[in-house]
Amino acid sequence: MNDNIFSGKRLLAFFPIELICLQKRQLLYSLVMVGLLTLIALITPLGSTYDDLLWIERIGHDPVLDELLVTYIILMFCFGCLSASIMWSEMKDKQGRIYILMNPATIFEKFIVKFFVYVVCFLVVYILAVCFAETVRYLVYSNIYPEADVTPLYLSFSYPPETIDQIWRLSRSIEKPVLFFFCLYLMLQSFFVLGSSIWPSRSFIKTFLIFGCLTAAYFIIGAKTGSVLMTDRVGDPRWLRENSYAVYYTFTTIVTLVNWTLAYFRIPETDVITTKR
Amino acid sequence: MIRIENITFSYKRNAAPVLNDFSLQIPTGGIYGLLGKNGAGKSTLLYLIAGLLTPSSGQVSYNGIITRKRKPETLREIFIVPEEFSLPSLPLREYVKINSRFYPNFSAEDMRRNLDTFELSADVNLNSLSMGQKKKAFMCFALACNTSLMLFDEPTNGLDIPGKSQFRKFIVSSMTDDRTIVISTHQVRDIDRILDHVIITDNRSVVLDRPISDILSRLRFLETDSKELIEKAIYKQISVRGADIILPNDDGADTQLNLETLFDFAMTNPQELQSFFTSKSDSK
Repeated sequence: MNDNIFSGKRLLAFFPIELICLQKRQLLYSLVMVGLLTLIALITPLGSTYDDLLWIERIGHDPVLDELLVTYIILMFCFGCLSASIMWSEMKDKQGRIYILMNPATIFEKFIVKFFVYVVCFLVVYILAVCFAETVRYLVYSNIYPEADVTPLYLSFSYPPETIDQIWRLSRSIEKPVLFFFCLYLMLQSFFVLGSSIWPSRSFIKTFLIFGCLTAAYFIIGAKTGSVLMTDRVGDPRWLRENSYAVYYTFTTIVTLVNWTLAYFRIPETDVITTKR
Repeated sequence: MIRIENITFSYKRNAAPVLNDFSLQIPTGGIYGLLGKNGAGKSTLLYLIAGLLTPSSGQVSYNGIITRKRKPETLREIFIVPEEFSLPSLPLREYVKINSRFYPNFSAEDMRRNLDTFELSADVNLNSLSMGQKKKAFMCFALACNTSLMLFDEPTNGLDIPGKSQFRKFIVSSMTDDRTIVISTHQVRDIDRILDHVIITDNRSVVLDRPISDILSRLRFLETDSKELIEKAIYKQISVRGADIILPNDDGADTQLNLETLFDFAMTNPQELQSFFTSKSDSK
């Protein structure tokens, strides 16, 4: 392959630049995330959650898990967007732009590395952070309430179903919600990936404000359009109702890919000093 | 070779262009001094050469490839040492190890020698260095990458007096026939002894673009208090010991370049200066 288009060696050589040269920042953000998740895991059961042993026995599992799962998902969205918004933050000043733009790797290689670190690796770090927070919660509350069924989140999914049939039913039952939220997560995060390439400085706030307003506008227009299409007075909209998931997945996938592509093509347009021409 | 062809560049739409239909060729090999007043566009020109800015019109190419395309084959042959830069909080050794992978001609031996010239250790943490020391460390790495084109923007700013002397020694010792170094600076006295070629820009155009040898064959630089000589001078500038003057060097006498005086002459009377280089055979 033409060296000017792609080089695996250069791609791998760019990883240390991202991970080691910026290690202080990566470590700081990771620690903040772990700290916040641990704090939330410890605060959530405060009060009388574990006091009512009869209720715990009746529901059959750790009562905090439902609330915590929702909280972790919401925080995954927040931290995921924050992680994406710092993807190109070293381009916020002239010195950073010179360093990135003059590095002899292609924009594609730089983009792949940053995408892997801030989108893919973030998820791994987040899951590990949740596991840590849950472990701390388990250690603390299992000592305070030894009779309560305090269970970390990662163990609550590990009870093996008795038959293959149960495994199949379990995976079918959670498939749609997991896929639904994951597509939504990637789509929302892709806006912040794009925002980071356009506004390297204060990217999270700017992206949130601008795309938030645009998204609200799209939803209002989309809801209005959808309500018109969904009425029986206009053709036969049953196909929309029957294929709503397919339409949703297609829409989120297209938006995500468009945003990632726009973010990729935005970077080569960057100059060391912003010009207004 | 660097070819700058009819470039026009401005930072804002309605503002006067910093460079207007500007053209210049810098052949391979040699140390070029790029001089000009504040705001003349020296740094802008360096950034355009490096491909860091997009001209409104025209193009800049290096060895036939447009630098703005920022292709890896060009980027690994160009190293720019900007006036201000930031270094990560890492040991210098680690920084070199991570970044040298992108430069196929990087030499660890050259890096060691450069560090010795500047009396720096490879085990030092970049965060613990002063600004001047960081500059030295960065320049050591820059030269050790052995790129064929090096661009320096105000390289002696922030360097102490021994550092400026070390810089001159450092640049001269690293020169080869196929290496080109372009130094943009106001501190002409820091570099006048190492230059092979002078480029003076003013008012968005090139006022002077000549090898030092050519300048010295046509002009004579003197510091004198002789009234007779001062009267004959084509340019004079009062100094502590009389005047720094420029005379035509009709008899080919040995003379030492006074870059500051030459620059002032170029700013004051560019047409007269240019006439000395166009009246006779024009060979660069």
